[in-house]
Amino acid sequence: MRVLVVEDSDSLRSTLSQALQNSGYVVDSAADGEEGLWFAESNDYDVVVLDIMLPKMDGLTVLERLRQNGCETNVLLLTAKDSLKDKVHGLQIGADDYLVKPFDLEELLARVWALCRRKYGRKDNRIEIEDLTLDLNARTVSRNGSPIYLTAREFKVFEYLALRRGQIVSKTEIESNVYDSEAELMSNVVESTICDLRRKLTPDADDTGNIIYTRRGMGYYIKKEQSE
Amino acid sequence: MTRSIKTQLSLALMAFAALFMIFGGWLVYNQIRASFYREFDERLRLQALSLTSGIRKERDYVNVIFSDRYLREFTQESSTWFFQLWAPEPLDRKDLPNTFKSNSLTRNQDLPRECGSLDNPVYINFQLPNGKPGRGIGITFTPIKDWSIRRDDRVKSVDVDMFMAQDRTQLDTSLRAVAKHLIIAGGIGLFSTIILVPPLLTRLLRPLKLVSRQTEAINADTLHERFNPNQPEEIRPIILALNGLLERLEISFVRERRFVSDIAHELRTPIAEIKTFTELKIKWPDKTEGDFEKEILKMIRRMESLVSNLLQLARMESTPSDTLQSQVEIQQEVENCLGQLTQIIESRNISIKKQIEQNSSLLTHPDILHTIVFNLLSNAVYHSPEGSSLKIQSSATPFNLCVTNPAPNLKQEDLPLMFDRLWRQEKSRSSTERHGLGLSLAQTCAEALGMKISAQLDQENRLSMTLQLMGDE
Repeated sequence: MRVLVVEDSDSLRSTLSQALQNSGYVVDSAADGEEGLWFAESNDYDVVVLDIMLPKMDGLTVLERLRQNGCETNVLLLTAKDSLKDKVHGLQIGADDYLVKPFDLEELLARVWALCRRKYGRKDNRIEIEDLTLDLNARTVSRNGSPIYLTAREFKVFEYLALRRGQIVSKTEIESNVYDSEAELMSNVVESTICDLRRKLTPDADDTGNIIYTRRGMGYYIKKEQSE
Repeated sequence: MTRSIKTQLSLALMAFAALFMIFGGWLVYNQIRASFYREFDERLRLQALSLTSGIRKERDYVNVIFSDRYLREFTQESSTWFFQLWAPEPLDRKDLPNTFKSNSLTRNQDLPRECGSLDNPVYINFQLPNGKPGRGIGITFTPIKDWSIRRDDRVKSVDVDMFMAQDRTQLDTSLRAVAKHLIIAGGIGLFSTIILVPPLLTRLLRPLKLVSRQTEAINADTLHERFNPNQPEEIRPIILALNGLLERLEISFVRERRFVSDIAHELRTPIAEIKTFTELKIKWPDKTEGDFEKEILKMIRRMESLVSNLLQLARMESTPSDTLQSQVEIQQEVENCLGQLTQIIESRNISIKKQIEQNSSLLTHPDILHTIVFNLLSNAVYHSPEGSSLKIQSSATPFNLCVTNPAPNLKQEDLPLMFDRLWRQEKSRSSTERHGLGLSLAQTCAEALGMKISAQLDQENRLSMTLQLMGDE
């Protein structure tokens, strides 16, 4: 999942980016309002963490512009202003959540995760796919209680496909939502990760029980259960 | 405790009304009394004159010729009219004494013999022989000679004294009635004043009460509200003064709120940085980039600088400077400050032009002056665009130090706010090096030394900060 952090304090921006990255998010960051608006309009983010007092363009203006341009990305406002008036104003112009500095890092991560879940219409942290269980909070995968060890990148790809279960997800979408914009991607990195995932998630050596399917020329998908 | 205006006005009005009633009543009573007496006296005079017409000088006596038909009131013993005549000759008949009385007087009863001329008769109040109050007229006249002796020159004229009186019980009764009515009218007037004045004053003072209620309702959230200036003339100056006060209070509150909000931001941001960075380090000790101790130290130093500046500002605002004065060379002071700023001057490639009068010095507190000059120069160096030029001018008499630097983003409306605590031109307050306290501190220090800093922005957007002694500006 992809998060944008727009914060003018170098230290705070760097800390938040690291914390989010360590939590499994793909993170982009911007130091002023104009750059933040450009990032938010150029990419599809699951959540934007937006400071209010920013150089060049303040956070509320960035938020207003995003909403005017039809961008529905979840926005978490981050600010030192704690009056009720400020909070109400921020929420009224389209913010999805509001966090006052200084805040607990755990709370910020929980709120970002809650906003991500809201985007994908989920209320719990577990996704069941046949006999596989994906725990989004603990970032683990297990089959009938037995853990399956995935790398961080493999987990991110599987998580993204699982959250969009039933939809065909293009290679480009996976790249933009799973890999940093600054990272130099090898051309076959997605195919390679999908291949590794299939190997780890498929119980039989003859590939029966494969859960990640390929639609040639379009992308990858996980079948939706009949009951869903 | 001071009595209310309403009570004071009520008492004053009631006292005035009482005095007015007493004095006015006394005046009216006297006018009426005088009028009654004039009428009474005129009646006495006319009656006396009519009596004189019935008195004739005969050859050996003075004859009293009264017709009962015309002077019936004197002939009855119970009459309220009395008269008595005194003459040098027998009166009425030759064999009678020289005095003559009306039938209303008994033999032993006499009237006072106090007489004036016909033109200027004597009027007196006295007690009548019957014990009742009376008023009389006394005149001395010369009776005309009877027609039968009018040509006889041997008969000499004589003067006759006449005193005529009338019972004035009715007059006194009328005057007492008038006095009684006046007292009743005065009492009603005074009572009405007591009853009507307080509610009338309450009504008249209602605007003051409204102002008082509105004033009580004012709080920090309603400072933008103003009193209605369409009030009675007496209250309008108070209303205008209150509105002025509210305006000044509102400005102060807005500034204080901005200051508190800025302080909150200035402190919350580094606290948030320290907190999140520490939490990150605890949660992912092996994955955290950056030197933890150095980062934390940097953030703490920033907070320390803010707190230190705020404390210095508070100290300067609350206590006057001590009197440890010495002669300070202005050129040397400027050089010292520029020396402290060398690193930033070089890194921003700022050129300095100096026009400082040689040997110009000032007897002042050196440390405080240093704070002022350093903050003025530091402000100019930090906020000038990179590669720009800064000008420092100073003259000795009168003392003046002017620092001019280009300020392309500054606006005229920023000038009055520049000396506010924590004011920054950049609303995002992103800079971690400047807190917006320098100019506020410099201004407070200047005031402590009896000086003033003024800011001017010219047409080319060059900002000039001038330090002058108060009174020299």
